[in-house]
Amino acid sequence: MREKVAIAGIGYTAFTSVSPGSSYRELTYEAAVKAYEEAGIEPKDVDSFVCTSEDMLEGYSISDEYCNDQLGAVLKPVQTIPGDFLHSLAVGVMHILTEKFDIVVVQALSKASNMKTIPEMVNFAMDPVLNRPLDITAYAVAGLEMNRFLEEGKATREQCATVVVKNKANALANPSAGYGARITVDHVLESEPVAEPVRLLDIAPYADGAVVVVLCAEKIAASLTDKPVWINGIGWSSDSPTLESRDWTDAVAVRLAGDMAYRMAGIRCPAKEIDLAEINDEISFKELQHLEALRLFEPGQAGRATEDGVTSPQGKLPVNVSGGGLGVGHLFECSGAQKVLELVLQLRGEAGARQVLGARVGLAQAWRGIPTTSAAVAILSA
Amino acid sequence: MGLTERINQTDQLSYYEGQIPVEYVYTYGLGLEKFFRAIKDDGKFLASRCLECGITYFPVRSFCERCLGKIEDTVAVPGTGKVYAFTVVHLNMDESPKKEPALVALIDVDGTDCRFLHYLTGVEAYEVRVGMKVKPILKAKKDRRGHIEDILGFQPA
Repeated sequence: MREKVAIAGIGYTAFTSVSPGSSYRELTYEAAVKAYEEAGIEPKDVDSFVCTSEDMLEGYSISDEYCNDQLGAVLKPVQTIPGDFLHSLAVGVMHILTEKFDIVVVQALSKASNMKTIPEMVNFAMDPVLNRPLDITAYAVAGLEMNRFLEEGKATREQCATVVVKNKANALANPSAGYGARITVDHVLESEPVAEPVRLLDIAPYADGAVVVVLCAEKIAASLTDKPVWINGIGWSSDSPTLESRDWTDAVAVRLAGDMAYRMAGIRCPAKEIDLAEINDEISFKELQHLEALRLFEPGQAGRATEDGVTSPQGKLPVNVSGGGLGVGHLFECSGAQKVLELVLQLRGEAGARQVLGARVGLAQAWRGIPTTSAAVAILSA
Repeated sequence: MGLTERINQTDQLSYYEGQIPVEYVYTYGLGLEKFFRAIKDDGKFLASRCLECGITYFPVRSFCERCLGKIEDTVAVPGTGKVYAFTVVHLNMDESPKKEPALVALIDVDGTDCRFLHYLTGVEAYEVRVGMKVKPILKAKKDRRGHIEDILGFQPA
């Protein structure tokens, strides 16, 4: 019987458009202190730390060097993943599965408000010889992908806008969310064009925040928490990075990451076995595309299901009850961490006004964002 | 543990602005060297085919990303294609509105398995259709420098 991995504690800051009262270190510090408090541990009890950090987004070269002090990880085993928090979570899970580590801490942070030239930095992720000289923002990549998505009849423009309406409304019931609002489909369709068909309200707005998670081996879980949340499956995958040879329609990397996580979790029929899902919605249509890639809906059905309320908090498969990226804010490499946070609260029955009744199995999915093709998926249960 | 104090006066907030110059030289390598030389010298477009996988890459590559086999030969393609997707970009890099929105397309390149990002020219946004046939427009030979900008864009064929 394989060792199981539990989430024994989680700490987080509010997710806000700016965080002028705290440095990036203090955001992580706040989340770390809360996580350790909840698990009843001290930094000296932790066997290894996994951080999430990307140099351009942190504003440091070799930014992984600056991850440890605010976590209590000085002079401890630390490694840092440039990817989404869910990639780091996969590493943390593997540490525990080696049975050499009993307590592992995984961290992610977004201090997006520190970055003054985000479009420039995102554009810097494009191919320097073939794409970057064209001097168009990387939002063009989202515009092209959404145009093709609509052209292939995968959903209607209104159905994509419905995702925004739903997620921003969901965020109103989440005290940690930065961008809750009551809006209509027309507000989305009439918002400022960015890279048509993508408009301003289709895009998850940037947010700051930090999340720290305490993982532990099954054998000590009961000593740290009364409400363990189990990580049953985790998977990750990347398509070709080049715009020229990647798949443009089906989020294949998300599908492969999901299938890997489903296999590990022993899930055969995701649509029946998953009670709620936190899905990457950095651009409105991505939620629909990702739901279908994850086999939670048949191809071409996620848009209609969203319109019919199937993915609303009261629906058969609540999606982004937290508000998602559109309602909580786009947290860059911390995005997957906010999704895991929501599942932990829901699976423990601690989600307050937005509690999904009977939630037992949840799925968190991350995409590394424009213009990347990397995805990761985790399956959690109570 | 935990911070017991917070800044609660906005006029007490301090910050430091940091910038660095970021400059690189990106060498083309074997594949792109052939590709851009053919455009510059002959106005021709080259692709490369992996015989093992049957994938034709555009622009030229020196290896196949699927089987990791070396690709030595190039194949000439007309450079024409069809609009696979298009977008109208309204913002500059500093997020200010563009004076003239940019019409950008992903071109399904004829005779290849790849798509190519570039501008659409000589056509208005409302006239563009997915599937529309397009051809590349090059700068005059004397102005070509072996860069992506040697291609001015793609216009309806």
